[in-house]
Amino acid sequence: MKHKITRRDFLKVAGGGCLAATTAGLGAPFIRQALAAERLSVVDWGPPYIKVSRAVAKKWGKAQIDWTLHSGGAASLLPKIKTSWPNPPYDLVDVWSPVFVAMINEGWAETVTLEDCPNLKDVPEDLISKDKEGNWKNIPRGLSGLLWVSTEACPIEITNIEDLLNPKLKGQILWPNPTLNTNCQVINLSMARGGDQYNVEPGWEFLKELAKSGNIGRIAANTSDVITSLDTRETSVTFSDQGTTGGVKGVKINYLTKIHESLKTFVFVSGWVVLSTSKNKKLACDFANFSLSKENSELYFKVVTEVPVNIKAVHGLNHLRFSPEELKKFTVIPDWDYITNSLDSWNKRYEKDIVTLL
Amino acid sequence: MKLSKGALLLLIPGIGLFLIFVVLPIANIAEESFRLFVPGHIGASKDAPYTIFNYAELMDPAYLFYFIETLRLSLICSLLGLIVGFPTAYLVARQRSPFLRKLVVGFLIGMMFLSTMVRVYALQITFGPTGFDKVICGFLHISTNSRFYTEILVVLGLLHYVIPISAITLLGTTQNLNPRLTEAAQVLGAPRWKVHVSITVPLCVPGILSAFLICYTFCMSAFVVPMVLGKGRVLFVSNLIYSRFSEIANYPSGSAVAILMLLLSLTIIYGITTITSRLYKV
Repeated sequence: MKHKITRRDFLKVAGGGCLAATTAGLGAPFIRQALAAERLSVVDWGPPYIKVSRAVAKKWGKAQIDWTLHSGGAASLLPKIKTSWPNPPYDLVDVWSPVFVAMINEGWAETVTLEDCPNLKDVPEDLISKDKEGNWKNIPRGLSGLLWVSTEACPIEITNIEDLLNPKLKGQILWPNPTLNTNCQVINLSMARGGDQYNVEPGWEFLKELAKSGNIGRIAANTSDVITSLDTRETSVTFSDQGTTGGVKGVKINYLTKIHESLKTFVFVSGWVVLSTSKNKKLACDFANFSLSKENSELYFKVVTEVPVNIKAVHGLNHLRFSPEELKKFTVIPDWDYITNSLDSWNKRYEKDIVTLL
Repeated sequence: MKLSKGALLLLIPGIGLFLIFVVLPIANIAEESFRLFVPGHIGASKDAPYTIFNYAELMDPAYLFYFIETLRLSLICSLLGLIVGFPTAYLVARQRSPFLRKLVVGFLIGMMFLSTMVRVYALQITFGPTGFDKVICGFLHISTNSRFYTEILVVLGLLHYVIPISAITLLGTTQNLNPRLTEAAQVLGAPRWKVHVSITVPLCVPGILSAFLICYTFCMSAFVVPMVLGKGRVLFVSNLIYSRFSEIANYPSGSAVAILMLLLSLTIIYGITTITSRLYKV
């Protein structure tokens, strides 16, 4: 049988197709909204953080989670939120102290209460970030430190910060760029030479010496650089955070805390922020609250190796357990507000004075 | 040439898209580059005052280093790309076996489709700390973490792109070259090398220029290659732009660097084109 397609048949099919496409197009936002109600969009760091968050999400099981990973430092998420504001595609983000400050300043962090997040009762209130009115703006998860580490491949034993200039360390130092660790590494250099976090000039002079010495083998731009470089024994000394160095498995890590007062540990908090634009605030708070339970906090410690903020959780991080005296001698509580505001000028200073010497 | 109404109507969608997706974003960046940035904020606020500070701070001689580094390594890569790409294109054009010709052209085109991340990490794994860096550097008597070796890695990363681009661009030029001209020169007693230098190369200048400009602009705007293979020590201007936009959120300063780079690139391309046109009457 010969099948003939007439113009009328064609128009019918085309018209029907157009109608179906238009209906689907008009309905799409509602479908997306309905789907969004059952899904959470969460931003986290790569391993080991994402590993524990996925495990917790599996146990929680109340909604599907779409995961996004930080690319570079957690601060690199801020421009992404800014450009998509007021509709950023995230409900909950895992960030740390300096980013809490920026998000609170921009008015992006949703207020959290004990009602939203009952497990916060087990968290010391001092660790919770607040806005000017005193509202709670984050859900802390781990207490950690930015600290110096060396690996078993390090050719010398590091006993104080001046050892970084030892010629035996040629090419062995993995130096974080200023956007990583919010430049606390230069603050530490500065403190060792008589400066402080408000006067980092001595630190820049120290870093110039270090750059000229040829001891800096690589600049780390993100946490993956740190793990890869240490793991492959390309470099053997760096300044990084507890969570990232916990991800190094191929080589033994020595934490240089409580060794000499020139080697400081910068204390910070990492944890969740619920975005004020989230359509799933309750669900986001519920997930964050679940991740804060005693069991999940202990899992967080085991995988990420940060001190859990839940006081009921047990941990064994002796190098991050400081007596009051040691706290005074070996740790720094950074002024994150000041540091965040100084980062732009510090980054330019690094570009102008240091990169040219590397 | 006068365009008819119909032709003008047909051009409207293209011009519209060009205005929306090219002119508007660049104008937006240009406007942002004159805004005042307040540290601690994300980008400039909507009512931020206008300033030339973002450009003035780039006049610091230290920033010249980044521009020189970018231009220097781009020049090296583009020239190396041409040195390898031109003979490759010539050989393919003169290849008698259609199978071999298709094989090489297919390989070159295939190289263009290879993901940036695959290329860069392949080089990183092969020539980085997990690969043969110690063997190579031991042979060259240099440190694996030396700047020289890092620059070699960046150049290799860029050549991965630049060689196929220049060979494919030059393929048309070498194919259109009349082989009788070189044959005539050889019949008259010219040695092969002289034939190539005095006939093949001058006749291919327009193609070589196009290939060079494509490679050069590509290298100057390279971002991932210096970021991954440069170990944070070899930084291109594009890396400065990225850190300002993505890490510090200082959009005005990032925009100023981007605009300056755009102007510099346009000036260089215009300069090279003009000089070559005058020299070779292209």
